[in-house]
Amino acid sequence: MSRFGLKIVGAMLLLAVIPLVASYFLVGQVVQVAESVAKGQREHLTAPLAKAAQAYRDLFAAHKQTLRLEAQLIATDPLLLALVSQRADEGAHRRLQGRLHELVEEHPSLGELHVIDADGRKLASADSSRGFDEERYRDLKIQWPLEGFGLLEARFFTSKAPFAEFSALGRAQRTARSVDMLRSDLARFYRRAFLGLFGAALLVAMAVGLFIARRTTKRLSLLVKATRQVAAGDLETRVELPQRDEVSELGDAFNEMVSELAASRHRITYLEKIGAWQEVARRLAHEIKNPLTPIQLAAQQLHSKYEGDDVHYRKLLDDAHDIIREEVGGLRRLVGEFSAFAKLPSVQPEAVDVELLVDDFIKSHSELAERCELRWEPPPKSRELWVDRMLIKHVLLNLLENAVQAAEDAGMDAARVSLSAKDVKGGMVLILQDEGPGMEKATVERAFDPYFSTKDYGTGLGLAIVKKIILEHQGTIDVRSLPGEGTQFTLWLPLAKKGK
Amino acid sequence: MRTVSPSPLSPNPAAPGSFRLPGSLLCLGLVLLFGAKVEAKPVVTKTADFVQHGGTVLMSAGFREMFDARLRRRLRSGFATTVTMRVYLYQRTIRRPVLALSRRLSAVYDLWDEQFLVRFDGPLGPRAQRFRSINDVVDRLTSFWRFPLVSTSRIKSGKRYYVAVVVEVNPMSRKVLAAVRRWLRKPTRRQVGGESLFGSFVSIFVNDEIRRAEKTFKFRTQDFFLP
Ligand SMILES: Nc1ncnc2c1ncn2[C@@H]1O[C@H](COP(=O)(O)OP(=O)(O)O)[C@@H](O)[C@H]1O
Ligand SMILES: [Mg+2]
Repeated sequence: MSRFGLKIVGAMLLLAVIPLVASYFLVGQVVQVAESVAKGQREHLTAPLAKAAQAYRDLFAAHKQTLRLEAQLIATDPLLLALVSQRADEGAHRRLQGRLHELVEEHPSLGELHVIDADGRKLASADSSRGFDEERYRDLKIQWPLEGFGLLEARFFTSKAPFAEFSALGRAQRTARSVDMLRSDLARFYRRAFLGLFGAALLVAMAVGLFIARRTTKRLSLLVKATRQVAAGDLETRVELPQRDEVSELGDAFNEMVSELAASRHRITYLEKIGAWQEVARRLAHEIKNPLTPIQLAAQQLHSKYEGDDVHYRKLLDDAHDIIREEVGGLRRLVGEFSAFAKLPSVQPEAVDVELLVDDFIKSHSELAERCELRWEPPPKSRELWVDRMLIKHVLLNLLENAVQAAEDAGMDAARVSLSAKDVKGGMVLILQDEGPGMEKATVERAFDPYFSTKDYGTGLGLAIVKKIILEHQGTIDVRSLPGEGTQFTLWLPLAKKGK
Repeated sequence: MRTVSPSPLSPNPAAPGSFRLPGSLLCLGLVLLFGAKVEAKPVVTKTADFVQHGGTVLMSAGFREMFDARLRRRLRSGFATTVTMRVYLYQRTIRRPVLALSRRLSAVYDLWDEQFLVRFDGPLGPRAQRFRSINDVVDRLTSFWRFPLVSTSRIKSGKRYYVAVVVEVNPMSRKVLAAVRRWLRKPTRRQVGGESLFGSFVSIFVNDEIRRAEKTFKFRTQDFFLP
């Protein structure tokens, strides 16, 4: 990940972590307090519970002890012992039975009483256990030795209620223990849940951070790549950044900068090229112009100094003289154009009203205006251009000349040309549209090259001069043309700034 | 003997309807962030006795060591002690158990009769057994004696099997568990309607993790196979 991405993710994490860490400790504190409160409460609860259980245990033990004592008391009942010792006697046996019943009556919790001999045979019994129903009572059998005889077996009954209470206590204790167990887990659960929340928040923060970083860095790296391409000389590079924000604004600015760079590089190289050709033109004009006058003079002398009467020779001289004069004239014109090209004046801009400029141009070139149908559509509001009046007229002249020549060469009866002016941001656009023959693609591509011409009589300098002038005005010129559909030149020129 | 839903050795199978997915997702996050803190106690391996008898495999095994002094004290207290055992039969290398059984015993010391009473489900319904010595009770609670494990028809001969057992002493009652879940979701009674958000969030973590018994003991047996 990029350093930028790391920073963003880091910031997001920090944002998520700080409040969470703070609240984590807070929650820990709260849980601890709650825990100690609960612990205190628990001690208030469990200790009495344990004591109560012990009380029940003691109660049961004491109760059993009492019953045992009761059994002992019965077993040592002198009347009973006496009757037992006389058991062989029929009457005594009946009385023994009666005594047993009396004893059962005397002891409310006693249900049955048996006298058992050494061989385990039941000698006498009293049974009133039907009074104790099994639902509500449980029993306890206690045997006690009878002096010198056998055993006394007593069956006591006791209410089941305390036992039920005791097991209820047991259940309560168990529930208390369960809750206790849970409580000690609970703090852990809360902590863990908090950590879960924490983790989730961190993950979300990280994801959001990554997402933002990824998006931004991706866009930034697009920009970086484009910048590298531009640095390597590719001025066609443009970046496309979706989503409107500072980064995409940067991209727009970048694109604008690159197109300006491309335009100015084009301007510079074109002007350099033209400069070189101007130098060539200047030399050529110089070299050709100088011998022209001697040649013409020499030819004139040859022509006029001949005094012989050879008709044929005379004719030959006349022809040669004509040819030389004509060609020298042509060369002179060429030299004139060359040196005009070479000596193009530098731009002296001033505020010029477009409408006045064009009207002025049409007036001063009436002969050209006669050779074509020119329709001039001035801008809706008057506008002042920041241009060199003379040079712009020169531009218009060259363009119009080309249109007229093209139409005438194509054998059209009239060259129809329209010129219009429109406001655009920061400047004005002049559009010159003709309905002439148009140009082939190859011609369009080379139209602005110096010395490129498709005409026998052409110098190929017209459009080169036009472009040089426009570029020196910091303007632009474009041509659009298709064979048979006419040609359109679009010129962008700066407006005069207010106050200049 | 009842058949319970098959579950691996985990003592706490998730309650039905618990939110497993978000919980596990969050756990995943936690694991990623803090590293897992897994409390994996190694499972004891015990030697059990497997015999074939009348078309049934019988298992005998004992694990009395799980009854420590505290549990013995509790056994003598007069309050009931419940022991549940979940028995899983596994075929070696297969993750899901072949079958799962459960068994439940409860023992109480009768303070009146001064003897132990052990209740359990026999093949013919509930049964009770009385013991005088605590060691006998502990043995009864912590052993399988000729426990009918599985019908031999369900055992593939030559394949290796083993049994895993989860023993829980005094497991929490369903009622208490349900109450705890409710408390967690609605910590205060005064809250009208909606459950507390953090509460339900916490309950995600609790459901799978609640300690459900006073003591849990797990072991597995050695492998056995039928020729
Ligand atoms: N309006 C036009 N219609 C058709 N072709 C044109 C027009 N303007 C210029 N051209 C083409 O561009 C070439 C270059 O023009 P220019 O530089 O003025 O040189 P020249 O007029 O001396 O040929 C012309 O030869 C012609 O082929
Ligand atoms: Mg021309």
